[in-house]
Amino acid sequence: MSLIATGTDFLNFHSSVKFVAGAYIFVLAVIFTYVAIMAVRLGRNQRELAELRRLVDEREAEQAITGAGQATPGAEQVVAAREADAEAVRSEHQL
Amino acid sequence: MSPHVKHLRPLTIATLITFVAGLSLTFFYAPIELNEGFVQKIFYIHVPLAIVSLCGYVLGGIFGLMYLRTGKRVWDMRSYCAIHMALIFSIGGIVAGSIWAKAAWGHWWVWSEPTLVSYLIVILLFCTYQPLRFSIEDPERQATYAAVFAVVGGAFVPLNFIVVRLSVQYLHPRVFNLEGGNLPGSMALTFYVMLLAVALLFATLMKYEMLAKETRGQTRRLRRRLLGDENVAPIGRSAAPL
Repeated sequence: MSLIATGTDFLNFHSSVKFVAGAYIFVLAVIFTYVAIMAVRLGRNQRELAELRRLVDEREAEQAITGAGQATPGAEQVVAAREADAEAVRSEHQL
Repeated sequence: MSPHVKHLRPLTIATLITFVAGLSLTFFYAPIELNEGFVQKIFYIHVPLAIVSLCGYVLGGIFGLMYLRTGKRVWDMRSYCAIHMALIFSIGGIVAGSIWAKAAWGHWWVWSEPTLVSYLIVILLFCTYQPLRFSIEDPERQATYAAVFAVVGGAFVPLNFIVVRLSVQYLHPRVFNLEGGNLPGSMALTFYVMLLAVALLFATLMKYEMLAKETRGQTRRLRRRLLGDENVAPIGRSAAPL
């Protein structure tokens, strides 16, 4: 016996629509709410990271002032490594 | 780069495409079922959510077992995220099922139906997972006890499923049986696409959850290194792995 209806004249079609819409809307609302919560958390993390970056910059500026005129051996490599780290963090957070 | 970030973008795109395809098939391709009519369309979201959520609990148990075997915190994190996502999917599945029951049976809930009640028992069991974690402050003990719970709970899920299948008196329709199910081709295709979409959604959201947890942990460690332990507020009690 086929399970497929051949006509569309269901008496309960209009009453069924609200149930189907309700079910799908609820599920999609749950998913979107979860995604929104994730987005808020990610935004908070990004703000915190920006603050940490600012702290690092401030600390570096302080060190530059106190150690002005004294070239630190390997300083360029340290700066390059920090930039690479920062880039890795940025690329991670773009996702 | 974090291992959780790997493949995250293609996975997200695949999830979106599959989900849109699944919804399109549901509403524009799959025929209207003869007995239930249009309300049968709920089946294409309710059943995949229920199946994927149950698989999520089992997956949480497997990850818990891996944690107990290896002692690596990443398995505890995976177990936590799998159970967390499975709970969310369960809520979606049970509400969608309840709406279907109201339309098909005239009742939001039928206590004499073993499939419904057993699914509710599984959900309630795993609802205690987060409070259990929260009640244990020491992270090591928290991870170990949670892993034991996940393994026992994960083993309970298939056992529960088999027991319900063996029960004779039931109302709930059976999608699959040993003969391979009784869905016509177009309905089966739609169902499998939706099942794949929901499974991909589970995997994607779980990866995002793990990435968020990992990033939070890294940020906290970085802050501690920059400011020193005394200048950073101590980490409070948390159900989530640290």
